[in-house]
Amino acid sequence: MITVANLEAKSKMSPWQLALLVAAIGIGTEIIGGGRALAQSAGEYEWLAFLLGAICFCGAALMMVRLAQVYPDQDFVEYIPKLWGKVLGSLIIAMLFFLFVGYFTLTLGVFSRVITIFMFDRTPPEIIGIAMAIACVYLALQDFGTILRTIQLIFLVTVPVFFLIFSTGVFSLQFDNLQPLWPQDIMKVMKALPDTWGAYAGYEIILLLFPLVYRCNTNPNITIASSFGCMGFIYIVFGLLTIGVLSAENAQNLAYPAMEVARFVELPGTFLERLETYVLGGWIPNVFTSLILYLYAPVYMLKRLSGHADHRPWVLLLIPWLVFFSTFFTDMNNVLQDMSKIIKVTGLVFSFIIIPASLVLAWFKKRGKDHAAT
Amino acid sequence: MSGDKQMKIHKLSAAVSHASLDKAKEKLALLRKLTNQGAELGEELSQIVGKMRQIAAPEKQPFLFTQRLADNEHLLRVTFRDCDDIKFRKFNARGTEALIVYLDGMTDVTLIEKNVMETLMEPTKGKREGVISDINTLVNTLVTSASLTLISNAREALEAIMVGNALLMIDQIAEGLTIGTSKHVKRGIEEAKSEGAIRAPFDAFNETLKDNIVLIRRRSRDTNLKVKIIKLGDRTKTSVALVYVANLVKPGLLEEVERRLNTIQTDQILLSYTVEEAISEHPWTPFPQTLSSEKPEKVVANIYEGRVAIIVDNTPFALMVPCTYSAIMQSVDDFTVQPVIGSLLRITRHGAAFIAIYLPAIYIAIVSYHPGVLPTPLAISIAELRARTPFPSFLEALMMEALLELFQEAVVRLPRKLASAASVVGGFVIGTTVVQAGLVNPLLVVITAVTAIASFSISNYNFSIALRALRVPMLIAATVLGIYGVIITALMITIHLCSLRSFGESWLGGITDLTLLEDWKDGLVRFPNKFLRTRPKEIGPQDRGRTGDNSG
Amino acid sequence: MLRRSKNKLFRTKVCLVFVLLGLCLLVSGCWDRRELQERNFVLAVGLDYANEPTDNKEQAEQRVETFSQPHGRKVYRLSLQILNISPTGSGGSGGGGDSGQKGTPRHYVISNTGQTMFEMVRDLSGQVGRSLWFEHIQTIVINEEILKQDGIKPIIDFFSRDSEMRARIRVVTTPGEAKKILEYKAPNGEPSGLLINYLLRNHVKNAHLMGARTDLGYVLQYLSKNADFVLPRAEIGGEVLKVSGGIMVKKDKMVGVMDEYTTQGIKMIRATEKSMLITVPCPVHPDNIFTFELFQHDTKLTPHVEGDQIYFTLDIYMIGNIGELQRCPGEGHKGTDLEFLRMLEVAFAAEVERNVLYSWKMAQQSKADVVAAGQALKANEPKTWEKVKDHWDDVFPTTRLIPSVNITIRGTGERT
Repeated sequence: MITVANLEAKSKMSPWQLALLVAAIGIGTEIIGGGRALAQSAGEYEWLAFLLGAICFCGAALMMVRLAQVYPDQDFVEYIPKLWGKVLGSLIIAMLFFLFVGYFTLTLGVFSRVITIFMFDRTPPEIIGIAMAIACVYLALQDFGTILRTIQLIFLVTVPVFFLIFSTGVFSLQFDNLQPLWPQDIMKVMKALPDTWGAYAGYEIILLLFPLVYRCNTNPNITIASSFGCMGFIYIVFGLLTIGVLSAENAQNLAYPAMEVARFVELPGTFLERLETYVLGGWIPNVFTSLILYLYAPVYMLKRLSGHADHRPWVLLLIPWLVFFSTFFTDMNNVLQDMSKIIKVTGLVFSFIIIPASLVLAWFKKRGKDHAAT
Repeated sequence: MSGDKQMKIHKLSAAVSHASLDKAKEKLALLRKLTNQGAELGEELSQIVGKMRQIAAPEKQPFLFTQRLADNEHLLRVTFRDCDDIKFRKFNARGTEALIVYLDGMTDVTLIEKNVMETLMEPTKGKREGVISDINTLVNTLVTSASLTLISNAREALEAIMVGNALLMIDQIAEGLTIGTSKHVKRGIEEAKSEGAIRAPFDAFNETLKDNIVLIRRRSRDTNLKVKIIKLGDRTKTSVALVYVANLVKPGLLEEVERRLNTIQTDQILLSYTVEEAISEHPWTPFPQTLSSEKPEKVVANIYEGRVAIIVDNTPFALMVPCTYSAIMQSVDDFTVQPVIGSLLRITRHGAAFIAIYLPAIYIAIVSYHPGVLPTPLAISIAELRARTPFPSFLEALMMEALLELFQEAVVRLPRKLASAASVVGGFVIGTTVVQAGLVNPLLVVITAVTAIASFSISNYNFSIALRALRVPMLIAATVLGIYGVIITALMITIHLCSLRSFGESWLGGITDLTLLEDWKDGLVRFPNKFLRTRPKEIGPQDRGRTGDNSG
Repeated sequence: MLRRSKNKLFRTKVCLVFVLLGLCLLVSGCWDRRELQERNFVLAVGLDYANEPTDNKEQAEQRVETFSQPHGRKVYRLSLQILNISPTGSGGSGGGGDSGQKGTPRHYVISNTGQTMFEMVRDLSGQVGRSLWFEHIQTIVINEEILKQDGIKPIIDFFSRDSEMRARIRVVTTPGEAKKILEYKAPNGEPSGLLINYLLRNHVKNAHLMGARTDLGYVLQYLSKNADFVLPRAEIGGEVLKVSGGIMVKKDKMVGVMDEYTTQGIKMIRATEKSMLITVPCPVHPDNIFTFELFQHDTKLTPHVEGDQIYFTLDIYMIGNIGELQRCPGEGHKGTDLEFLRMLEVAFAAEVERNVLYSWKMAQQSKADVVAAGQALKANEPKTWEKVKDHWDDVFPTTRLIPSVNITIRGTGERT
C-alpha cells in the first residue's frame, strides 16, 4: 500500500502515531495535580509505584490491543453489543463514555484551580477553564488528520522542554530522603498501585482509534509498550525528584508537591528564577493534549452511535455541559475527591474486569464459530 | 450730420424674431444634444453590427473571415477602430493583393520586411510564378519565417496581433497566417529585488514569460520538464505557464492545479497574486499558501521535489504549490554553506519567527503579571526605569508597535532620495528621543527593535508580514491573561496553522509527523548531502531516489 | 431551500455563541494586571515580640501602627523591609548605592503588632502607597526570644501557605531585635535583606556560616519530619552586621547556641562544606599556627547496630593544601620536607577528630540531633529506625561517634 503522506489519506495513522497519542493523553494533569495523594499512599516508594503501575497498565493496554485485533475494521461500539448482548453492551459503552466525560471535567476543573492558585490572584477559575475549552473546541472541530498532526507537534516540542525544566530539581536532591531504596513493606506499595491509574489514564482510547491504524510491519504491541515505557520513565524521574527533594513526610503536607520541587531550584547567576512559572508554562500544552483527546473520544463514540459522518456537531453539543460541570470541581473539595474516586474505580473495573472478560467471550465465540465451521 | 436724429440701435431679434441670443443658445444646446445622441446611436449601431456579425461567426468569435480581402480589411479596421497603433500595410504579392496587420511597438518590423514583404514582393523568376492561390504554397515556399501559424478563426487572429505577431492575409484565401515577430521593451535580467542571498546565482525572473521559461530551461536539460501554457483572464488573456516534471510530480496534483486555474472567472490577471488567491483554499488566513520566489534555482529545486510551478506573465514572482512551513523557511543560503552552519542558520530562522510573534507579548506578560520570574536585581532596575514612564505597559507596547508599523510602511513607499532622511528620523525618534522624553522605557525600545530585526530576518516576505499581523492579537492576549493567555493563543495559532491545507499537505503539521521521519533531516535542520539521498516523502513524488531515471 | 436556510441559521447561531464567549474573554480579563512599578517590593521580614514602648515617640508610633484585633493579644511585632524605588534615581544605569549617596535611602522599614502574620500583613497596607508584594522576599529574621519561648511553628505557617513565597527564603535568627537588622544600612547601600541572602551563599567556603539546608523550604521539611535542625545567626553591633555561628532548634524550639567551632564540626559531620580551614599549633613552637585548606573531601556517616547499642562511624577523607604556615622563629619548617608534611597530616587529622567529637558532644548535650544521625540510621538500618524512632531523643545522647580521618596534603601553594 503506498503511504502517501498527505492529508487526503489522513484518516489513517501508523502504530507509532497511536503510541504517541497514548503518551500524549497520559502525560497530563497528574504530574501537578495528583502528587499529594500519591505521596500519601506510597510514601517514599512513589517511583516504585509508578514503575509497577506502568507495567500493570501496559498489560491492560495490550489486552485492549488484542481485543481490537480480534475484530479488525470494526468499531468498539459495534462489536461490544455483539459480544455482550444489547443491554450489557450499551451499559459498557455508557461506562466508557462516562469515563471520558468525567475525566475531562475533572481535569479541566483541577487545571483551572492550579493555574488560579499559582499564576493569578483574583481571576476566577472559570475564565481559565473557558479559555482552555475554547482552544480544545477549536481543535476538535477539525478533521482527524489535523488533530493528529497538531498533537504530534505539541507533544514533541513541549514534553522534552517540560521534562528539562522539571529535572532542574535534581540540584536540590538529597539522596538520603530516598533511602532505603527497597521497601520494607511491599504491600504498602501494592496498595498505592490503584492510585497511579490517574497518571496513565486515557489509554482506553486505543479501543476507539485502533481501526484507524493501518496494518504494516510494525507490531502495535511494541509501539504501545514503548509509549508506556516513555511515560513510565518520565513518571519515575518525577517520583524520584519529588521525594528526593521534599522528603516523603513533607510531600504529604503540601497541596501540590510538584510545584514545591520547582520552587526549590536556585540557579544563581542565570536568568531563571521562580521556575514554577516555567513549569506551569510547560505544563499547559501537556494538559491541552490530554484534554483534546478526552474530548475527541466521547465525541467519536457519539458519532459512531448516531451514524453521522461528522463529529463536529457533537463537539458543540457536548462542550457547554462539560465546561459547566467542570466548574463544580474548581470550588468544592469533597465533590472533587468523590468524583476522582468514582472515576478511578470505574477505570480500574473497565480495564481489569471488563476487557479480560470480553477477550474471554471473544475467544469462546471464535471457538464456537470454528466448531460450527468444521 | 446733426445729432438730433440719433441712430437707434436695434436688436436683431426685434427684427428677426428667431435670431435672439436666448433662442440661439437654446438651439445650440439642442444641436449639441442631437450630436451626442447621434454619436451614441452610432456606437449602439456599431455594437449591433458587431453582434450581427457574430451571429454569422462561429461561437465566441467576433466575426468570420471571408474570401474577399477588402471585407476582411474592413472587419479588421472596424475592430481596431481608434487603435492608432495598429498598422495596416497593403501590398501586391505577385499579382494578388495582400495585407499585413501588426501592432506598432511590439513587432519587429525588420523581420516583416525581410521575411514576408521582400519574399512576396520579389518578382517571379522562372519557376515560381503565378497567382498565389493556395495557402500551403505560402507556408512551404514563400514566407521564410521560422515561426508561422495558420489561423482560421478571427479570435486567434486578433490575439496574435495583440501579442505582437503580424497577420498576413491574401485575397481569395479565407485563412490567414501569423508570423512570429514579437519584440518589445522589457527589463533585463537583474538581481532579485525582494530576496537577498550571499552565495547564490544572481539572475532573477523578469516580467516576460518567455525569458522566465528560458531561465528555467537553462538549468535543466530534462525532456520531462514540461511547460504548459494556458491563457487566463477573459479580457487580458494573460499567459500562465505550468512548469513541472512529468515523472516526478505527485499524481493528481497537476490535474488539481489545472482544475482550479480553469475555475478562475475574472477578466484581468495583472499580478501573480490574483492567481495565488484563486487557487488557495483558505481565504481568511494571513499566511501564504503558495510559495513565491523570484529566483529560478529555487523554482527548479522545488520542481525536482515534485511540486508544480506557476509562472504568470508580467510578474517576476513565480508560484509553487504545494507549500509547507519548512519550504517557506528554507533559503538558498542554507545550501551554499557548510551543513552545520546551514543547520544553525535554519534554527536561527525558526527562533526569529518565534521571537517576531512572541517577544513583546512575553514582555508584557512578565512585567504586568509575573514579575517574580525576573531575577531580583533585574526586577529592581526595570521597576526603577518604569517608575518614570506614565503609561501602562500594554499602551506603551502598542504605541511602539504603531510607530514601527508606520515606519516600515513609510520606508517601502519612499523615493530613494528621502530614504536616508527617513532612516535618521526613524532612528532618532523611535530610538532615542522617545526614551528621553520619558514616554517609553528603554527596555521596551530594545525589545521592539529586536522584534523588528527578527521579522526582517525571515526570507519570505509574505510570511513575515503574516507574523507582524499576529503580533497585536498576542499583545492583547498577554494583557488579558498573562502568560496563560500567551500560551493559549499560541496553541490556537498552532492549531490554525496545522489545519491549513495546501493541495493536500498540512501547512505546519508535516514538520514533526512521525510517519515523515525521513523528512526531518531537511526540515528543521539540514543534514549533509550524504544523508539527503531521497526526496521528501511529504510531497509524494513518484520517484523517491535523487538519482536520475534510466530512461534518459 | 429549507435545509439551506436551516444550515445557515445554525451556522449563524454557532458563530454568535463563539462571539459571545470571545467577548466574555475580552471583557473579563485583566484582573491581575498590576504593573511592576505599582508593586512594593518586600525584601525582608523581621519578627520580634511586641514589647511595651519605652518613650513617648515609640508609644505614639505603636498606637498608630497597630489595629484592633477581634481575637488574640498583641504578641508579635512584624517588620517589613520595603524597597524604595526612587523615580529621581540615575537614569537607567542605577547601580547599588546611587540613591544612598543622594540622600534618599534604598529601603525603609514599616512594622505592626498583632498575633497572626496574615492580619498584620494586610493591616500594613494601610501604611504604604502600593500593594505589598512578596515574590522577591529574600530573608526572614527571627528574634531568638520567640524561638526560645513559642517556637518557630506559630510564625512560619503563613509563609508556608502563601503562594507568593519562595522556598529559598533565608531564615536567620538574631539575639537582638530583628527590626534593627532590617533597618541596617550597608556601606554600599544594599538593603540588608539582599545582603544577607547573598552573604549566605558564601557558606560553601566559610565554615563558620551555617548556610546549607537552612532555607524556608528545608525548615518546613524538617518540621514535617519532626527532626531537629540548625539556623544561622546574625548579630549587629554598632555599625557592623555579621552572620556567623548558629542555633540549634529541637523540634521547634531553640535549645542552644553554636559557636563557630561547633558549627565547623557540624558542617564536617553533615558534609555540607566545599572548602574549610583546619588550624593546628606547631608541635614544636606552640605559639605559631599552621593552617590547612580543604579542597575535596569524602565524608560518610555510617550507623552500626550491635544488639542494643548504636554507634556511628564517620569516615572523612580530605585533600587539600597548606594554607598558611606562620613561620616558626629561627629555622622554619620546610614545605619540601616530607617528614614534616606527614607530621602535619597527622596533626590536622587529630584536630578534625577533636572538632567532630566536640560538636557531637555539644549536640548530645542539648539532646538535639542536628547532625542528621537519625536520617543516616533511617537510610541504612531501617529496621532499627522503626524501633527507636519514637524515642530517638533519648537514644541519641547514648550513641557514640567513632571518627576516622585521613588527610592528604596535596601541595603547599606558591611557596614551599
